[in-house]
Amino acid sequence: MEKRLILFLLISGIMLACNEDISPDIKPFYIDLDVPEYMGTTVPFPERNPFSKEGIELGRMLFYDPILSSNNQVSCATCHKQELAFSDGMSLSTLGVSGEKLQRHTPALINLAWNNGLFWDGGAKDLESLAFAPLTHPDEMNQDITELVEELKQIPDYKERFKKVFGKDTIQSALIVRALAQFQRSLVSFDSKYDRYLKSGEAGFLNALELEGMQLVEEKCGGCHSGVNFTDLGFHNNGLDAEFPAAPEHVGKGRNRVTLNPEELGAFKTPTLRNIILTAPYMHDGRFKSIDEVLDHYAQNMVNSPTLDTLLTGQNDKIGIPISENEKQAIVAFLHTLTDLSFIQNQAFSNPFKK
Amino acid sequence: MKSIHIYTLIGLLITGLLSSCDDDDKMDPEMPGKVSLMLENKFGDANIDLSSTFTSSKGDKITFSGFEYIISNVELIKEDGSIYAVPDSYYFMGQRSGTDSKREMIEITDIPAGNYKGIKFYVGVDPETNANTDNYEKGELEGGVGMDWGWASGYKFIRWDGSYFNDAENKDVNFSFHIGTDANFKLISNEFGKTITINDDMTSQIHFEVMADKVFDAVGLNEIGLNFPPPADVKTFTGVMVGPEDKATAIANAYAEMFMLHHVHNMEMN
Repeated sequence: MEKRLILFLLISGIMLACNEDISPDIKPFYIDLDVPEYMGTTVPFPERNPFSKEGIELGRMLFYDPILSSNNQVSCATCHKQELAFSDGMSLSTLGVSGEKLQRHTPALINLAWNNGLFWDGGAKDLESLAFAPLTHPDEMNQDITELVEELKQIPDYKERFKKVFGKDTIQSALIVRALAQFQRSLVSFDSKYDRYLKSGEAGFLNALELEGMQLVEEKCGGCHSGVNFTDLGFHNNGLDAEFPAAPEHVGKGRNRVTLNPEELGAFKTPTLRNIILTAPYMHDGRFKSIDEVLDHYAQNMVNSPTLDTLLTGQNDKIGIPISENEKQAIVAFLHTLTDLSFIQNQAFSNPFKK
Repeated sequence: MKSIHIYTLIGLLITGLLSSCDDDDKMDPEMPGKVSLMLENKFGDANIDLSSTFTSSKGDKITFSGFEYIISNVELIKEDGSIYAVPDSYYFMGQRSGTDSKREMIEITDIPAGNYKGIKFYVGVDPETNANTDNYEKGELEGGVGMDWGWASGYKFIRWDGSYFNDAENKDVNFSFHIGTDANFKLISNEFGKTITINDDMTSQIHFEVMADKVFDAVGLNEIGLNFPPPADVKTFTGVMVGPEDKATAIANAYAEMFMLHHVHNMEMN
């Protein structure tokens, strides 16, 4: 009896080894993420990385797990804090593994699925490809990707989750960044006071000052901060500097670093204005501490340079956007209506390890 | 006695089952075969290693700390001119200091049986695949391991690092040739001058010499000088990342000419 059992087990074992297919019952639950009609009803995604319930959840775990860094102390959320609309409140972050100051300001993570390029210069073409940069940069997470893959393989829960999401009995770097991308694409913010106004179509949702501010933002800022997501997803030189030195690492050159187009020297990405009150300081280097400083910049402190955006060259040789003090008040009042408290309180976006 | 019987039976069963996992083992001229593509990294007559110093025709004295590149989209050309495109053929080649691996050989398997007269492949990654770096479906294109950029999505088609003696500074300084972008994706196409037979019964090798000296003959390191702004932590540095454009183009044009077909073997297996 015993020998027959051994024989049976041996044969089954060998048969299993021949069969590389994964059984169909572990397929993930693919989903569409709903957004308001004015954003196209569902969140867009690249064909190779469709949303699944389990994929977003795995991405969320990875996003909050410091195992992703070399010293196991820094997670994505260290610099992308939900309460600050996934920004970090610092001009140039020093929260990475080395403690060294980063060269550009931590961007907020809001409605990223619609972006054409990520980073302030749009160098990363999608969220999947982007993730390798913060993961491996010595001043950010400083991770050796090959080691990270091995570390994750030692954790049965992760092994199982990767298998469920991607149908492969292994973990690979590409799968890590795909899961992270699914979670980050799911970070959509369309439940502000302004959205309730848009959805209802009733002016009553905004007061007179806010409505005036909305009008002013459209007139004075809408050249770049256009549409209901308040960004043209483009790159502009907005008169911060007269010169764009190449060192260090060309980061001051902006979009020109990526395209080598001389007309794009000093051009940086237009960020969304959504949740803008939560995401101070401002600009690609975090130089302005408050919205007031930002408005002062556009109104009177702009610096000329050959690539300054023609939208900002103004009239009568005076660069900048004329904004009166009263208009500034109205604009700030409107910008507050773009704060989405349910975005920063959404449990689905929060740290899954903190119960 | 009986137990011996059972174990013999088990042994036979295992042998049978194991072989059923594999493709049929017996020699057959109609069955697909394999070929080894050998890419031997050379600087003049010398093989490239990470300890020697090489001198270019321009007089630059060069030591490599890394000599890596990507080969992709391999196609084998049949005698009748038809093409067998090797699926998902993306390979990281070369070597880097601090790692043990040195890759100069690509094994290509499952090639349809037939007579072949040439080979095509590319240095770099095709534009479609180069648009993002999470390409686990495609051969060996693992992301985040040094052959892709973080700051601008795409692969480094060549990643050559090292130092050279800078005459003006009178000391060794670092250089980096990290070349990518679609414009620098270069075709290498060669006819063997004879045909090789590929099938289950034959063993074949296509042997190239990769003449790195041709690149340094075309682009002098002392001529570039130190005009490329350094990364934050490297004080003296000659770099051609994706730019300055003209230098990157000159390097790419030169690496397109550095693959010299040395010979092809074709032998019946014993």
